[in-house]
Amino acid sequence: MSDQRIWLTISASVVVMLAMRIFGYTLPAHLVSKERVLRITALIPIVLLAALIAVQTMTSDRELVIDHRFAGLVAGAIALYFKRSFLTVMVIAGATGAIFYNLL
Amino acid sequence: MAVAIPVGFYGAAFGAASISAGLDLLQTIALSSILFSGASQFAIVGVIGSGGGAMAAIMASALLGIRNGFYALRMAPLLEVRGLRRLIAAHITIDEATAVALAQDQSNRDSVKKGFWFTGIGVFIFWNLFTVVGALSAATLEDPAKWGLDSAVPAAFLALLWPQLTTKRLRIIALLAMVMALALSPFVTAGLPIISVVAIALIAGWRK
Repeated sequence: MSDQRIWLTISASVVVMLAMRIFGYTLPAHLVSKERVLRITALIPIVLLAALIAVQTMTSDRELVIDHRFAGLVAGAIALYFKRSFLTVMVIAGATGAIFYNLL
Repeated sequence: MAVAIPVGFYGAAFGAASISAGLDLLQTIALSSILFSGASQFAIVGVIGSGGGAMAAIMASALLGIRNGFYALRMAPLLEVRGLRRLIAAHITIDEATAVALAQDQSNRDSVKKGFWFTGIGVFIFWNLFTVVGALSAATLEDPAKWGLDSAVPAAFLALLWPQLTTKRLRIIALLAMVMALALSPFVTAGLPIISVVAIALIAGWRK
């Protein structure tokens, strides 16, 4: 891609991204404050995060895979179950993932 | 603040990926500072690196960025921002800032706001700093898996999701979202499997 095309791609992406972000903040309050809308928007980050975790851990180029990342996530989940701190969870998951990746 | 550390290393991986995809330093920095959405940035340099066109790159970035709009919808009533602060809040509305904010006790509006702003700005600084580091040392950082980074990042998100799953119903909803995203992944373009789970939130939230 030419330099000019790359800049075009970057600029267009930035405009689209900012528009989507601002849209969420500018919807009129009376639309967003209905009880049903509140229930739904409260659930949205939960389902998005769950989906993000699953896709980041168990797909690779759109194929489903179980690899070192899954081992890391399971180790992290165990640490969470035993109420370890955020940093501990991350280190345990990262170390487990790295061990599996470098050994397998 | 702890969220910002693995994110920083991922920023370095992005910087390296961007340079090896053929972007120059300024373009790489532009993506991290004014686009500022990791998945979209990786998608753009991925498309460019594999010889794809501008339209494909823009579409991929938009698709992966839609969820930021949904996060904005959720954060708007909690942050109560206007004017310039609203613009800045919008720009730092990302997975991490939203997740940390919502992991706080939501009856304490101050800690929700603090969680959002500290995380958003912290991640912004680390992400950009390490983008430059990664871009300048492109060759050495191309394999984040070797350092466990690709395992630490989803675990960090899990740690943020965990305290939000306070009831059995919420745990089932989260599990359904995971299954749905995975089931769709082989069949639809990247980004769609994640935002498609909004349908689950719609159905589950429709009636209590």
